Amino acid sequence: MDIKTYISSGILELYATGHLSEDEQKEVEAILQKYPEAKEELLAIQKALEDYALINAIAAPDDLKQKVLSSVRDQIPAQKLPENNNKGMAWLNMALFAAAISGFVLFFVNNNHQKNEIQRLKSKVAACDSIDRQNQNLFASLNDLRHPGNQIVAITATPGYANTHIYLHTNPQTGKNYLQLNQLPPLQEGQAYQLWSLKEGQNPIPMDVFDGSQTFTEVAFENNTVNYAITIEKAGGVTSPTLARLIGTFKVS
Amino acid sequence: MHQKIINFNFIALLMLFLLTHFLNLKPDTSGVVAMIRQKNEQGLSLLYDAYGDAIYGMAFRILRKKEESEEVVQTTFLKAWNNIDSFDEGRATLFTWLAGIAKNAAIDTFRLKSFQREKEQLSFSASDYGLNHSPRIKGVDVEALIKNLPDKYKILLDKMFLEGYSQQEIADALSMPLGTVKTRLREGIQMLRAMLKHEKHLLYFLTAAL
Repeated sequence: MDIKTYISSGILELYATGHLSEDEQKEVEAILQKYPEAKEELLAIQKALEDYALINAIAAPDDLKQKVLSSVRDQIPAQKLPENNNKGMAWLNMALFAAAISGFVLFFVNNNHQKNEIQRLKSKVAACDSIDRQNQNLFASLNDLRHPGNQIVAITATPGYANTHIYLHTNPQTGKNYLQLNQLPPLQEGQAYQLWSLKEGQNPIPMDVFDGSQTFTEVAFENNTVNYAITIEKAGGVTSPTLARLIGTFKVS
Repeated sequence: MHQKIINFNFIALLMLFLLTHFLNLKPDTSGVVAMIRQKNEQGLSLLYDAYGDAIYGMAFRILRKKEESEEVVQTTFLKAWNNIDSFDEGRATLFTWLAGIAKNAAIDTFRLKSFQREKEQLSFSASDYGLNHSPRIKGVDVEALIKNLPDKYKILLDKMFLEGYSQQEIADALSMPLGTVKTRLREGIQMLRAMLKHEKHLLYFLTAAL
């Protein structure tokens, strides 16, 4: 069969407009199966007819759509149909969107809060570490003070400084010295206290310089010292003591 | 860090989801058919938006009465909803299938109301209807297209396609052999296709120029 002649006979147009008997329709459908160009032609005809019907459309009453939808709604179980699908989806979208945004905001707020918390805890840990170090130092000092070889020597104050109360904790076995500063004479601007080691037949050896702000402090130990002495000197210390400002001495051997 | 990644993925998915929904892209008819098969009312709503006025136009041409035409539209969409499984994409486009249902429903109604169709209706021409056309093809100059289509073709398209008169009825009314009705219908549709093609090309160039 010549398919071009078949197409141009107009039978596809009759088929598309619904003017063929059932038998004739079946014949056409057999041809459509066999010849893609016939099928293509039919599709083009149907598209043109669709456009023609759309061109000739008449605006239906506004409420007709609702009537159509409710006539369908009336005959199917209610649970299959949300009240208004479109609206429902829009609400769902908005709800999801709002949830996502608030989730996002919450996450960042929470994140910031946690960052601050971490900073706070970090500084606390640092403080604890420093307290721990202090405690370890104190324990070490305490152990030094508990050592069996430890001696406590009270200051022998010179007459001008009679109110002074200082104790020297000294231990030749461990080679450690601590000063316990209970009461010190006042200093003037630019002055400090200085510790000296005095030995037989030697010049005084300059040792620690301190301002008296700590009541218990470790100072240097010098072997073979006979007396330790404290004077008031200019801040920063000097190399030979000012005997006029000698507060007192500790006799250690 | 892990939590952050999940959050961003979620946002991205959500954006995509919202975009596809809010763009309201017009689905092709296979999507509409699938939705109706799943008994999703949204599918019927889309189908009505696309073809409701065209089906109403066809019904009104046959029945000339608002109430009866509305009934036919309701019947048509209800039948489409219930019998969507009998729609065969290999045989008809969704619209021509729907139009077939509408035509049968309208003719049934017509036969119920008046036993015999009056022959003088055949003298009606498209311009006499005095109805508000509701053209649904964007960019196509509907008035020009209808005017330029010769009356001899217009009558055939209206009566045979839109109003469902039989080939024999047309042949009798126009005193024309059946074979001539057939070839003239083809000529009319060929001319319509050429005109639509021209209009759509024009539209294409216009939009391309923009």
